[in-house]
Amino acid sequence: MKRKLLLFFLFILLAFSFTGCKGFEVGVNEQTASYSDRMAIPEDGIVSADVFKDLKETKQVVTFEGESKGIKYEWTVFGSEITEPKDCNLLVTIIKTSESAYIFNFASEEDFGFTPLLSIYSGDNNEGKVASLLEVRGNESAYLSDVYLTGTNSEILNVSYDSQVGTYIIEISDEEEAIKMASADSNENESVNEPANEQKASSNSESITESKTESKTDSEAYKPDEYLSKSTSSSSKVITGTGKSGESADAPAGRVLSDGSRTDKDQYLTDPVPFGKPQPVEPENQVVNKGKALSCTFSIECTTILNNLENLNPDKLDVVPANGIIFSAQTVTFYEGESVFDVLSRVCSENNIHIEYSWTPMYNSVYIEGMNNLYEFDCGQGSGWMYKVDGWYPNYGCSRYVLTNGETVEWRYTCDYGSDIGGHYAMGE
Amino acid sequence: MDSKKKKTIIAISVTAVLAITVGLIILILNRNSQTAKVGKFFTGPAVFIEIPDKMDKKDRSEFELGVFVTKLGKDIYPAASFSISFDPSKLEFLGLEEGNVLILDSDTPAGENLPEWNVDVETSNKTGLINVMYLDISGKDKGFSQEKLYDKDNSLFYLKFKLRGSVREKEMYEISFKDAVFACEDDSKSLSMLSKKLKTKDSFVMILDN
Repeated sequence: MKRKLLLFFLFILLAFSFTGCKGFEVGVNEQTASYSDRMAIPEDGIVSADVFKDLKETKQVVTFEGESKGIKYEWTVFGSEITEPKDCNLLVTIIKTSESAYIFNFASEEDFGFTPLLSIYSGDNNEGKVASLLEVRGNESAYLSDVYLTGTNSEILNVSYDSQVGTYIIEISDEEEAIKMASADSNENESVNEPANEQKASSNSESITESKTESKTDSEAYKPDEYLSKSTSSSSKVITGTGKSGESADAPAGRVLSDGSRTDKDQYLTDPVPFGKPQPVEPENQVVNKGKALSCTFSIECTTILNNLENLNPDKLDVVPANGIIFSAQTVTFYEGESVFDVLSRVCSENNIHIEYSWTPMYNSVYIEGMNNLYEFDCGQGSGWMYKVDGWYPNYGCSRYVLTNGETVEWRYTCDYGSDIGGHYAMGE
Repeated sequence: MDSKKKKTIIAISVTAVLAITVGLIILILNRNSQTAKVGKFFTGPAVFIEIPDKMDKKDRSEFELGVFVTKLGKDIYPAASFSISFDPSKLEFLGLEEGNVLILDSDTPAGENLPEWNVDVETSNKTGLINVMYLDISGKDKGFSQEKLYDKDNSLFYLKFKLRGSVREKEMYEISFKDAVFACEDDSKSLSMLSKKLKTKDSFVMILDN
């Protein structure tokens, strides 16, 4: 017995002497660390509920570092604000669309349940400039809040808000120019309700009129042609234009991006394409270069149905995958000049995924009626398939969207006209 | 060798192998955990200011923000200075509280001492720039050294502030380094923010949205 006890103690002693007790201290250090609170965001972006539980209990302020296409960003999370710790995906996709505008959205549209601060390291000298946060709503944008500029050259853009749904823009403008624009803007009130604009913004006409005649409030809607160009905030801050009329924003080779200047629908009833987003390419004008293979990330999922099973056609229960994933995100190759539809039909064909579509001349595009035997209206009146490319739900058909290398295409099933997947604006509401 | 001795040797060997295996597993797990936790910021010498919890605009109590250092070079740094800017119309700077980073001091039995930081509170509130300085005037190498830093919680000093009545909801007030230096006698070995040999990370105070 004595010998066994001796051996046991010897074992413990050896284990501790070998590790220097470090392995057993991790938990303690994490709890008591007062500043080492900078963590790298994991590759999949998901920070576990356990981490947030620790932050909540210790009321720590922690910064999570990430990078999107060479743009560094950070989340500062305040432990005291966490109410219900849960897994949170902290990945953000950030695209610099011009010298003074950033578009970004979130990998997950689930609310964190707390309000962290997002800091984007622009790398630019923004001294003497002001910035605003706008929410993209289809062809409109709405002012949400000021963006605080910090750092030696005001290069860090800080925004704090509690929604991760949708696409956002940070617009940087010259402070003096902003004041001038505000002044000019107030003198141009009468020119606001031009016929074309009225037609375009019928559902928002009231708020638009108000916005031009009265002091504006948060979440106002703006007219399409004023996208990023004439919006004002409650603090009289003016968002100046990023794209000059007739110019396109920085675009990959061969792609034409919207400069935000168009105000009316095109011949196929497509609403104006938001600034910085690719213009549709008519299928008859598409030229496929089979000599050049490109790649994109592609996925098909219907996870929203899992939250709306009560609305699902009972006959379709068997075709809904248990996890909602029909085709998990993976890299697929395609030829230069191919559209989202081209890639979708190939992916479905190669992976034996059912697909049904119809050609809609009015929109000059195919319409995806069903995939994996899940059709529009199968899960409520507002249900159907939508597609998202690099965080944006295009407001035109998938056969008019020509892909470029490295883009991320997500086909998602909505049960509520897109609002449950952050794509309500693409429905033209 | 009798069988008792043999058994004992075998038992000790098995125990040792088991202990080493367990130790290795713990070390690997520990390393992975650290990799995932620590951001890129910690790879070199850096100083930064703690970020406080969000504050209520009505809160008039004093709060402290630690100024921390992650690591230093191999040398001894007999001088250190930090210029930290803040908005004096929103925050009132109340002074410094000592941290836990010690300097080498051969005049004391322990061979270490707390550094005496110099700061002018009144001027800081006028200019919005807090200049904090330590200088070894004895010439006896009473300087900062890596050996006096712990793994964590290397606080140089704490800045004490109070919110002024002019703060507004949802606003954010930056507290940032304008300069930071750990100086060596040989200037080429000094660590400074401007020469990019010393990283800095700023802080801010956020006011709650009530």
